[in-house]
Amino acid sequence: MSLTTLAIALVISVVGTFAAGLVALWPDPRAHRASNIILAVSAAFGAVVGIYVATGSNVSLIVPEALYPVAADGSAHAWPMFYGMVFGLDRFSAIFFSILSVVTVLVAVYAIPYLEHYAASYNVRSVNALTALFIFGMQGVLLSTNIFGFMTFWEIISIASFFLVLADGTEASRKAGFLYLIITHIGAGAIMSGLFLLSGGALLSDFSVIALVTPELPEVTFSIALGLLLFGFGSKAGLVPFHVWLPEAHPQAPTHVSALMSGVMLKIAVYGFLRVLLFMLPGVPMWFVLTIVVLGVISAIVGVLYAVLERDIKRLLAYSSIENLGLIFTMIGVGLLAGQEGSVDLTQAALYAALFLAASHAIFKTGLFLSSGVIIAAVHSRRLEAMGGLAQRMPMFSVAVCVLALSAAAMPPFAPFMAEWTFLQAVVGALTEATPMLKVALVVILAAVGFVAGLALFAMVKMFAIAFLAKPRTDEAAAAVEPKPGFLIPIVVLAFISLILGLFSPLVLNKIGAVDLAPADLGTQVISTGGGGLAPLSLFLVIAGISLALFLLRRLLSDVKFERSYQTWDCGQPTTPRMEYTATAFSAPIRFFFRFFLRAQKVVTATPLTPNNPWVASRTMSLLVSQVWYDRLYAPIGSGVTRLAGLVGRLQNGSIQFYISLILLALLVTLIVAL
Amino acid sequence: MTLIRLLNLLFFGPKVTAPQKNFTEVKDVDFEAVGQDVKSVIQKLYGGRSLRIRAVDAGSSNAEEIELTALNNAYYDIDRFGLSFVASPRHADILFVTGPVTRNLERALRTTYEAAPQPCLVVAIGDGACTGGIWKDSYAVVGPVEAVIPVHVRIPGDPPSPTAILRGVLHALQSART
Repeated sequence: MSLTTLAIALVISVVGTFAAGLVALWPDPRAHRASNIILAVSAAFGAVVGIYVATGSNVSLIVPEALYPVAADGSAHAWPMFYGMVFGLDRFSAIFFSILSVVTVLVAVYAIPYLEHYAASYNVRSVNALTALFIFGMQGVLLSTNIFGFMTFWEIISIASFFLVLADGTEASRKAGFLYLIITHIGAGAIMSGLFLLSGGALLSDFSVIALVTPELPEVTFSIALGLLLFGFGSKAGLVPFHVWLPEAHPQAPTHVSALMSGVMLKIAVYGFLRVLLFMLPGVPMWFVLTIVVLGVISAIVGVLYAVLERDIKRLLAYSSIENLGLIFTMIGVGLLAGQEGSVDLTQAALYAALFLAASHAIFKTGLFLSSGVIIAAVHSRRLEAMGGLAQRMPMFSVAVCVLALSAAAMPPFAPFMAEWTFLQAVVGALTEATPMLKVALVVILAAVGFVAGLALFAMVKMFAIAFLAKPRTDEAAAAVEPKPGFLIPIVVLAFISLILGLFSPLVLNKIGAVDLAPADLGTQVISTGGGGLAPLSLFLVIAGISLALFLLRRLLSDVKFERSYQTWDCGQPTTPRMEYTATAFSAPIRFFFRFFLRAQKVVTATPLTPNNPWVASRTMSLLVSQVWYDRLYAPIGSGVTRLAGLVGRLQNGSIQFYISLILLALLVTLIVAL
Repeated sequence: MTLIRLLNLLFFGPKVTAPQKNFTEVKDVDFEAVGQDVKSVIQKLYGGRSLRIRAVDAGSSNAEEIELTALNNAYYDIDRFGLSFVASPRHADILFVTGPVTRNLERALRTTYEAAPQPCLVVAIGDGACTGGIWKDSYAVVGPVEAVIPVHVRIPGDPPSPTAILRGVLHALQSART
């Protein structure tokens, strides 16, 4: 494909997204389907471009140049863009662009029956328009090569997703949306300040100016900028302790938007972070790298712990996202740490494993969120303890969700396992020749990743087993039926992609590994990480072949006519759904083991039913798990700010003479300082 | 005590165990004969493996249960003939049902029979299980065991002695052979 064709496809993709947003606002009832179909088609174009650029030769696609090549007389026609901003795709952003596009195609297909089902709860026109704007913003961030463009599209993402979180208009959504808006805006401000400091004030210039300005910055300024960037990108990506908005906002948004937010928006934050860190900065101090590693490990551990305890399916998936993002940041941090300590193999492997984990997380998390939407639509509740028995009622759907849940639990042969395996293999390989400090760090990280992987399996087993297995716990769950193809096909496709990515992971890692992630002082060798100890396709085929052979042998050789199927032996008593495992009970061992951190409280309130006899009472037991970060960090800050506002509010005493005297005082101070 | 006194006590002191002839001399000849027959039939039928019994109390007066417990004690000891009691009907080859089937346990008895893998012999032990006994037309009783599940062998008696139970098992196994 020539550069021009790619450029045209890219332009179609972006313009198509914007057009889908405009079409969505049309009052016609067919606009809903039309808008989503346009979105899916333009995202398909984007997927083709993204995958071609990411896997192809060293193509760096800059859109105006590709469409208007240099003329024979040497003059180049450039598009009259705002402030001379240039948009283009290089191999690194193409990885994220292809993730975004593939996910968008499937989410748009899902959105058609989903919003038709929930047409009474949402203003469908505005949800479609905002979703298209959200995706447009994400595409813009990935295509920007200019700080101003980057920040503009970043803000478009934040604002669009804020309104989407508010979309169903309930009180919980409003609270979650405002928390999200505050944190994301402060984060965006931090990113802007960080980039401002790093570029020496030239916000309207290209990214390349940062590489020029940064080496001459004083140490303090550089450190402050790095801290601001870590806060900004970390809060968007869900790093602990900036993650508090994530478990509140993701459940409240419409499900396909939650899938987009959790699957893709968090990766955009990772993209921004890596873009600044690897492509613009000459090198970062050791304290920064260690902070990334520590925050990553803490996020992974906290995320998975709360995911194990959660009983609301969408919050469980949100905490699982925090865990995976923590793992991604850990891998990035280890990569940078290894680069500083001289283990180049580990650097490359860790960074490529991080990218692969980001891609595979996007796939399975989107799939899991979309399936949670289907389950919630069937059962009319988000609580795990209202579900059950769905595997018999929705067989094909359950198989797809089982594949996605195994993928989320980092089981072989799915993609996330391959990413983590590559990382762990490289860590173990680098242990022998590492410096002492790196050795200690790597051993701690090995233990932490193992811990997180084990608990992630626990959380996913809980989610799948309580929701799908055994008998239905409510009448709505008993009445569930196989979902419509519009719901089912995107989920099955995502499960299939997750399997394919895993089975062909050496190939994928080679492609990612060919991306030039060589930052300035990490060496310019590009080492492919494909293979090593991975041969998932052949292993999978061997195991599948053996299983098939055993199945056929048993069928042929055993006396099948003496088989009689009967229900589980219930000791003579009929089993009821009340006898099944609940999500609370299943996670009780973990809650007990980490009780010092989690401080779960059981509160029993007794309301007497008769005035004379206090022993006859209706008793309610609630189990509260404390939100450590919220209680110890955010609530004090919030109450401090409120108190400060109250103090400042005392200035408003209503007397106009007082206000005039304040203005005079301000004027005097300004004159004194300025002159 | 000193070591010498301890050694004295151990080797030359009073014997605390019963003499061996207490166990080698046969006490109950009938029982032993029936038991040996059961053992040889089980050997032939099941190739040396043992026969698993699941006991279901469908509403008995516990007299039959006490006799079943006696089958397991050191005096009768049916384990040496290849019979043992198991905890789940899933593992059972024989069901021992005692007592007339009360209404409360009718469903449990039926599910026990259905859960046991075929072929499964059903033995009704005691007068209550065979015919309903003195509780036959009670409002709380469904009837004898054959009113609920098919019965292969009936062992009458209130309660039947352990020898009679074993003879009934032998009869069931021999008729199963044919």
